[in-house]
Amino acid sequence: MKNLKALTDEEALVAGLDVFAKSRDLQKNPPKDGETLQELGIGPSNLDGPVRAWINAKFRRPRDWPLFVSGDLTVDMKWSDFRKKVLTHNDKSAKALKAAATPKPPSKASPKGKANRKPATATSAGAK
Amino acid sequence: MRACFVPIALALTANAAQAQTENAPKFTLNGDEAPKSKPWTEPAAFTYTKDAGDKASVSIDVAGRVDWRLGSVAETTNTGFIRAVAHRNTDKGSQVESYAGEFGMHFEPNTVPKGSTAPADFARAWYFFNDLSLGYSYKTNFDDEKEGCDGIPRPASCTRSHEGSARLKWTVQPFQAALETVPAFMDGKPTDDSPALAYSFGPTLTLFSDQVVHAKVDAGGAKPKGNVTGASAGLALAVSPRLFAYRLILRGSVQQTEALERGDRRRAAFPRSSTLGSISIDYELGARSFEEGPAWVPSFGVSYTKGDDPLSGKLDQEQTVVGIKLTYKAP
Repeated sequence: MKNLKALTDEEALVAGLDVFAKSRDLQKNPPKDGETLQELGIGPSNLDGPVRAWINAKFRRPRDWPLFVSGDLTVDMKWSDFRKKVLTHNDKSAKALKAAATPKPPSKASPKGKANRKPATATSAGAK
Repeated sequence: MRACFVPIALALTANAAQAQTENAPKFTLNGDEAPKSKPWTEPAAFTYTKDAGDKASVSIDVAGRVDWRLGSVAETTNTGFIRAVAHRNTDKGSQVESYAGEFGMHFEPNTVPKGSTAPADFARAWYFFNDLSLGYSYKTNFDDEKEGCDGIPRPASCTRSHEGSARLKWTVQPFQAALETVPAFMDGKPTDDSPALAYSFGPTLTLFSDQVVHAKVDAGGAKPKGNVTGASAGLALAVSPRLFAYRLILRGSVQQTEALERGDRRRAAFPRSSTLGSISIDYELGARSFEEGPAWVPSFGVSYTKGDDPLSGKLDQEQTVVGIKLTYKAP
């Protein structure tokens, strides 16, 4: 296995899942878009336990993206949907949500105050 | 033996809102007290049974649950939940009527080294899925067709009574990656590395305290009153051999409940020690349960249940059922 730090997000995702999928070598036989996670050899309990915890630690928490909670990922998801769900997000970033939830009092004189009133925007990144 | 049943089972584990945002509440529906859907979890079911003597009965087993995240989306996987459970069986001799509502918190500590992102660390670690809840449950203690109920006056355990109780419950499901081994598929066929026997199993530990807050008796006998504190340990599993392309699925569960402390007036309807076991064999026809998208998954099978689970109001259960099962898998 290559050093995970040198891999793209998608390659790192496949390399990580390969550790959990005992019945298929995902490096030799990489996932196809239409295949489900069960077809890759990921079981429901492993997906909701170790795999989800690893994905949160590797891809979500470092970017302040919403963490997956129990039941978010299911084994009947197609690889293309799963990859997109893991490596992007639809919600506003947690930082933006936090900033929006705790607005600072506006200051007419300060340009910093204007910056604080700038609406938060959703971000998206990752999947190729 | 009960035969010729046509249960309609529902397995709903997602909703439309979930596809749009990671932070939407999630709805789960199954047929059991299990905290979450697992390979061995029975789906919510409506069962119509008719035996050779033209005796018909229906049973309903439904547990619906809504989870929502507690706290910041980027910092926690803890969720709050509310859950409603209903069990009803009209089969004379093993009648069940129990309804429960509860709210609580789900949290999941693990033993992964802090700061690690190495997949191997996550594959080695243990995970502890905790559900801590407070709820209200209502159940009927039935008097029908028990042995030793001919005496006058009738023993209290032979008198129909109803009880409503407040229940504090803490359930823990430990999990480690080695507890589950599943097949993989390529072009619709199992890979060469797929195991001869796929399996998934896990233990469940529950501590509970159940305090009757209101009760009534239909005709004579003592009113249930007081508290029961106890523990329950369960082991559930699903096993599937490669031989039939993993279409044959054996499921089993055994649960042992021990009442550590019982009020005098709870003893009649709450045994000190009780065991509930079930085993089923199903052969999946047509669409596979793990394929993408909504589908009706038909299966043919046999199930056998025996024992007692006083917490869910299931007492004196013994049923063998053969038939066709239709399970709806939500998108």
